[in-house]
Amino acid sequence: MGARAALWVVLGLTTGCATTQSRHEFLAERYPPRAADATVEVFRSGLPEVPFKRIARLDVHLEKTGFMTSRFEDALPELKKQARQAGADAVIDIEERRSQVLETMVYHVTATGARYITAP
Amino acid sequence: MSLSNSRGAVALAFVLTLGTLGAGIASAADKGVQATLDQPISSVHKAAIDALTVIGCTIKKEEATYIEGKRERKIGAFVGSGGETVSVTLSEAGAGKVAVDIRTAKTFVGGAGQKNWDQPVLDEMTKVLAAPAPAPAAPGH
Repeated sequence: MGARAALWVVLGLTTGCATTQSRHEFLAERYPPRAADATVEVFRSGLPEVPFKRIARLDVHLEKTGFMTSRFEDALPELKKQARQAGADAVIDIEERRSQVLETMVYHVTATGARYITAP
Repeated sequence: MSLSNSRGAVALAFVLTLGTLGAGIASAADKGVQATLDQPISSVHKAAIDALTVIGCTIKKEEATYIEGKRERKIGAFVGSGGETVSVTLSEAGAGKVAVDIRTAKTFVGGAGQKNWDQPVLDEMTKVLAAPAPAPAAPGH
């Protein structure tokens, strides 16, 4: 009984906590959101080869306790979601930042949502 | 493990959880970081919001010359983190410049997992303001 209680305590303490925050902010003009399943191209380097316009700043912030680190792939779904909500076709200008507060590993991604300019 | 040991473990867990979750019983404001930025106040205001976002703050107050954000509390294996309130106060400094005063208020309980964010926020603001404005349209290659 005692050992079981202690095990639950240890499990509770070591499970830790993970939080995700995200947002998008239009740089100028506002655009309607795209469908939730719309394709979003992600350019970790380079730029789209078609004409485009930078339309929004995208932020995704991940924090995990217990010394667990986050990877870009962890932020990617939220990054795409914010891009869609901003009406973007692609994510460019990706920048990653990492910091630490004791056991909490902080990972932040900023990027720019780009909208392809279609021919009239 | 004996009953007394498991009670001790539960007590330890309680103390650690309290340290992590405890609402702000008392706050300890710092002396802050001050700087003068050679940018319009509207640009500095936007940069402050961006900087607070980058450190994981949710914006709680947004006024023309005052922005305040709060970092969400995280339960951890040891002490967790978060709970700090970070504020940026702006004032006109003449000649088109803006004085900024950045302060972090930590809570008394859970303070071990809290950090002073003054300098990181100023660094981020400076970085945002130094970045060239995005071109309205960029043709592909």
